Amino acid sequence: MLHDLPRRVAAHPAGRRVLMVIALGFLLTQLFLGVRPWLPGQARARLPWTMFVASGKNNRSLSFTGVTDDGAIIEVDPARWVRFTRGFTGLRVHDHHPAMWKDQARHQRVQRVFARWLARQVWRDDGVRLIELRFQRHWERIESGKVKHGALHSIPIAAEDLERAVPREARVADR
Amino acid sequence: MRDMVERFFLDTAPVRRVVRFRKLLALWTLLYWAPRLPHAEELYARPFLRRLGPLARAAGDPLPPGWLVTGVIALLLLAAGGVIWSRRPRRFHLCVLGCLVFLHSLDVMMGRAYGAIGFIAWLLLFLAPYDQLQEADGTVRRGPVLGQRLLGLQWSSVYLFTALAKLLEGSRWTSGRSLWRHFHGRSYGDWLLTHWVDFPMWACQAGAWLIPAVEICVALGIWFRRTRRSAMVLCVLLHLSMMLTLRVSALFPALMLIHLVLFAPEDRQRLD
Repeated sequence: MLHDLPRRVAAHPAGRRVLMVIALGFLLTQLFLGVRPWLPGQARARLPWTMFVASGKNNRSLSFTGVTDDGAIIEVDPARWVRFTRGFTGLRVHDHHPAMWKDQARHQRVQRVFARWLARQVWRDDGVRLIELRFQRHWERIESGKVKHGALHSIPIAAEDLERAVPREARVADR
Repeated sequence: MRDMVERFFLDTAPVRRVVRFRKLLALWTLLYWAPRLPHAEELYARPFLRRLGPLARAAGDPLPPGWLVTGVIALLLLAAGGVIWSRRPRRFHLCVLGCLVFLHSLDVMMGRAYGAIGFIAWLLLFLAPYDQLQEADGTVRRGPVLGQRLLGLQWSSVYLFTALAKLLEGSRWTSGRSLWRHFHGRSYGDWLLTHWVDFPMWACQAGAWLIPAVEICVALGIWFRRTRRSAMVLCVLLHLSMMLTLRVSALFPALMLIHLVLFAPEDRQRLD
């Protein structure tokens, strides 16, 4: 039924009309995308395909540390568990996800979920219980090389946050 | 006018170019998704830092099991293989589209830029008569050019819109500062040529005018027989220079360059 569909559709006058409607729809969509920057209100949007148009002034990075249950401070590297990098950039999801760089309540919720997940990985793989996970943003001006550090964000980790990630073997051993 | 538009979209042409494009797009899809297979769970079933597409949001933010997303990517790879090698590729084409809708709805971040361009290419390719290269008597088949035209227009629009977006940025782009930061920043720059050569601001300023000019020439020049070859050469040079200066995945230029087969001059069909 699907085989050779475009040829069979184009063979009928009604089918040709459908194809013309599709072409018209495509052209109108392109036109709409092209005029969106000048439309008012909610319809207003940037042009599509703006790759490499805007650039940040800084090289941005995040650092993560954890406070263990005996008070020690350890470095936590999310790259141990978040493996996938974008193209050749070396950027992982926590490096470029907007929520890690903003501080509204909804972003903080996302940060808490990530911090708890990270603490669970540390507990699962290293057997270290974290009671707090801290992260800090760093900006380095590309022009001047001047470095600025953001505030230290501290996210408490409850015991039950870790419990969900305890491997089955460990849970059995605990009993 | 109406006749001209109808001829432009509904004329018939040998299907060689769309058959070739079908295979190249499927091959590109294999290369794009195969490295994602081992990371399927991290990319599409992670419980943190998600950015859901509208479909997944409408479905109430589901977190699919890891085996499901791994299975869907594996199915996508098989379907892409089917599109290349099957004698009935259209069924596999639908399977590819289904898998892509599922995966892109789970994480919109992965479907931006060339992921999205690839998806649109798959959608438009469905309108092209790529099913079979030859008739029973061995001659190359002919079919309606609508799919080929829309794929070409979509490809051109990427260059046109990206050039316009740069010019609309105003002095932020035309001053060359934006390009200079891309070249010197650690996210995308400091790579091959930009690692060895410290591009001065004046060169970036020249580049800031040259790049949109080239993009507009490629987008428009490809449609006219006289300028087509130059547009193709410019397009290759543009992507080559990007690959040598910015940390872009080689898959992005590859996706844009495989579209050139749609304009290949092998069968001198009237495009302009």
